[in-house]
Amino acid sequence: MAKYVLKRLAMMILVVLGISFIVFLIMNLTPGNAAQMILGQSANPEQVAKLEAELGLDQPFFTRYFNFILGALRGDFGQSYQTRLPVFDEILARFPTTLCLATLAMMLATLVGVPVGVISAIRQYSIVDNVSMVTAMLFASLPSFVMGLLLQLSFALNLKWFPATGADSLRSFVLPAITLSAGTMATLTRMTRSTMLEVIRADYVRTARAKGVGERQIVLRHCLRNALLPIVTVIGVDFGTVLGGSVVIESVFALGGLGTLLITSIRMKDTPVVMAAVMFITVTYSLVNLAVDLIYAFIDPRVKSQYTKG
Amino acid sequence: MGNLLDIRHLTVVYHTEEDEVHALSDVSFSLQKGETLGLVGETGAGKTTTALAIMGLLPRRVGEVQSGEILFEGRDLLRCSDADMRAIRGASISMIFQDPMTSLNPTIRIGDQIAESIRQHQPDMKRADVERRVDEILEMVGIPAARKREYPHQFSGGMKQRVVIAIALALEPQLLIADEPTTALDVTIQAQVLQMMGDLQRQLGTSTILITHDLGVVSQTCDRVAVMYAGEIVEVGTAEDIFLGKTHHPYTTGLFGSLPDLNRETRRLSPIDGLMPDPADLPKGCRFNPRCPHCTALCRECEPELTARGSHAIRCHLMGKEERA
Amino acid sequence: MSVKENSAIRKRSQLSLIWHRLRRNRLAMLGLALMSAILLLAVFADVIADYDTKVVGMNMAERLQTPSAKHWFGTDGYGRDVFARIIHGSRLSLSLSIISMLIAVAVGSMIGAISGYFGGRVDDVLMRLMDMLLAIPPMLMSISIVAALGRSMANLMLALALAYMPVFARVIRSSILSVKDQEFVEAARACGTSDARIILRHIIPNAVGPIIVQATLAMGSSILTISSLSFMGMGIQPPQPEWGTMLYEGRDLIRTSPYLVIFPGAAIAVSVLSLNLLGDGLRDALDPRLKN
Repeated sequence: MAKYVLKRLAMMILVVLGISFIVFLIMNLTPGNAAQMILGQSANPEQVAKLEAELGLDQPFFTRYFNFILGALRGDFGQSYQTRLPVFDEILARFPTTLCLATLAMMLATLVGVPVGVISAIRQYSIVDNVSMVTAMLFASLPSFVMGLLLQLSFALNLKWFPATGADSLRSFVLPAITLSAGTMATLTRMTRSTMLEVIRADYVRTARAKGVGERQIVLRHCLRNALLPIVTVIGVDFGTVLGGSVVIESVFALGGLGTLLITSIRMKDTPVVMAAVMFITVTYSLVNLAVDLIYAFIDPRVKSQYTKG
Repeated sequence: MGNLLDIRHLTVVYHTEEDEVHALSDVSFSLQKGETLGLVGETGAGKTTTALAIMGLLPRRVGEVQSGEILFEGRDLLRCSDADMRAIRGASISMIFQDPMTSLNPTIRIGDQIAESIRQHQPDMKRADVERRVDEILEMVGIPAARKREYPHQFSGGMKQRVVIAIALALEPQLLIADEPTTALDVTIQAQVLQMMGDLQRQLGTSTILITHDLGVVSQTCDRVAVMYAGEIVEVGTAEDIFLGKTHHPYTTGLFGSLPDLNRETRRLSPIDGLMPDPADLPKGCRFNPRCPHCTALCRECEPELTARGSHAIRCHLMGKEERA
Repeated sequence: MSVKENSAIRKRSQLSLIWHRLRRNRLAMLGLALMSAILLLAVFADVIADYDTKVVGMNMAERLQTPSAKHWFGTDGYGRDVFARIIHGSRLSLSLSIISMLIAVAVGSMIGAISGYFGGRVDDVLMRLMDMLLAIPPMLMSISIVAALGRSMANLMLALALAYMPVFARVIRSSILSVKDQEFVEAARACGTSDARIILRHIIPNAVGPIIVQATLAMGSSILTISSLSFMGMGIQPPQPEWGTMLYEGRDLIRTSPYLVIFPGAAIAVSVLSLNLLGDGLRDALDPRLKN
């Protein structure tokens, strides 16, 4: 098992390095001169050159990338062009909000989506199935920020049950988390249903029926565990969607997490902050997927035994 | 009468999205205690459907029993409640499926899969007794009891089928339905598994329905044989009737003609021309008439009845004529 | 349905069989009908409402009117007709998503085909690269590209294409792996057919089905991404009538004029819904095993 964990960890580090390169590359495609941008149009060439040297912008691309990676490993993502403060501190201050929102949304999506999907599959073509499938279809098609605006209008502005903006208490997270979970809940429900339908038709389920096992046990013991494998994978992938979506939802509810920071930094052309925020979100996503792979190995004896023996 | 199983006029239809498929039409046969019946025919003839109907495991919503009775120890299984059928399945009637590679749950230890069957039907049995029974049955099918803690993927195909057989025989059922139990296995393993099944069956006194398209297997193991074609039984009789008898349904004759015979020096096999009819679009009259070398005008118009002569019954107009003549 | 009709159906080609199955799927047909209607509205947008006067031209005398017979969906803060703006907005959403999907399919298929067909080291390198792209959430990827390259339609399309490309590469690769060793490909190879020709003539046609399904679904999701970006001020800029941009402009007025949010929101939802229904239906029609 340790070998498997190590192997997955090594793979993750490679992927994260790759991502960092892609992100660094994209960020360096920005037309125009960063130093000029910071100092404004009125700055003279000497001032610009001086700042460029100060920020290391005059060095070749690969040197800059290498320095970025070395710095990142020490938790040094440079200074914000805007505030001149260390980027890492700013990110760390904002990160818990985003992580909290994403985790809440993912938990909500899983806790509702998976059971509803299972029930829909067991009662295929029943009213429950039809209603949940139509609802899921609608949720999957409604843009999250529209849903956010509508929830905000009805439950915060009109009914005043929840705060409309800000992140002062857990109550402030209720509406954003529901909004953010809707799309993922929908895909997860549909995915769970189709996986369950496939598993229900599997030969080994027929074997279990031939043993005289009751429907309840068939679902709980024989179907669920096998259906869980692809579902867990999808949960991992969906976490990325949720993290990406949180950027949008944070701006609807003014939550002040990484997403809000990202958007303001993009407007201000504050590249170090943008880089760091994107890296943080993608590394979180990679970690979640690593966890998913480990859970997978735990559920599926085939994966586990591959590594326990060798 | 010593009939363990009596199937009378069983008719099953599959409702698919496009068609209504006549899977079984008026199938009747019986099985005595301790007897082995071979159910023979091409793929799609209705062998597996018959088995699933007995088990009450026809695909839900799609498969429908339109008429008939399945009497097991005098009780009509088609009228049993779901709970009653569950109590019968696995305990009194067991089934072995064709593909051992997919018949076992990949995430459950094989010992637990056998134990599940026992616990299901004998919930009061002590844990240690269940374990002992699992060990015993595993040894019976030739698997060391120590391997019960392993998962299906750690077994070969032949060994998996032994596990499947162990599950089926764990409660010593009166009736075992084996649906092509050796088709997916290597030829050398086939013989081993068949041998073992035969031994166990004699030891436990189990009646068996053996579904196969391998006539060699039938001749070695079966007391009686039913030949199915396009959802009907076209010929039924004792193994002697089928293998040594003089008169046969033309389809049975065709089946034997497709077999290589080592004792005779024939150059070529004579396969049956044509394909089995589309079960959603059956020909009028005798279902075999488009492929039959002896087809008459009568065959194209009227469906023949199953006509019995002693232990041997044949569904063919020609046989009727011969008798009357 | 009579038996004769059925056997006639069976003899028809694969394509008409798929169409036959699709036609029996009521939800898929609803999706197709909605999408066709939206496409027609987009094509004839100029006939329905004049761009200069109604869509971008301001008319402060008629600002913030609630829906009426004259202005079906009301007017916005600058007195522009919301209905006309939504109709013209469909042009933007549809063309952007169609073009970016075409780019994504073309590039992704090429990468997937090369990767699947040649296998080995090539496959390893290309697929690890796709894994890395997939490890960045699509929304974040689009935001980064637009942030780096600046807000323009071309950059938006590039961002979407890059974000969805790995999906198509994977689909093509897996269909190639599944047909690669089948006999008809071996036969073609035995006849001395070139690699490129085998890929184009024998392998791609077999992967067209799953690609169309994925492209339909991805088109829906790209419409969501476009509007989300615009909503955050990072996509299409005002005064262009993009749906997300309209929502961005309408959100401050949501308490007094909720229709400014509801109608553009519904427009997005209906387009995405129709594509999702169609995509689902196509998937079932291509592989009926999955349905029952």
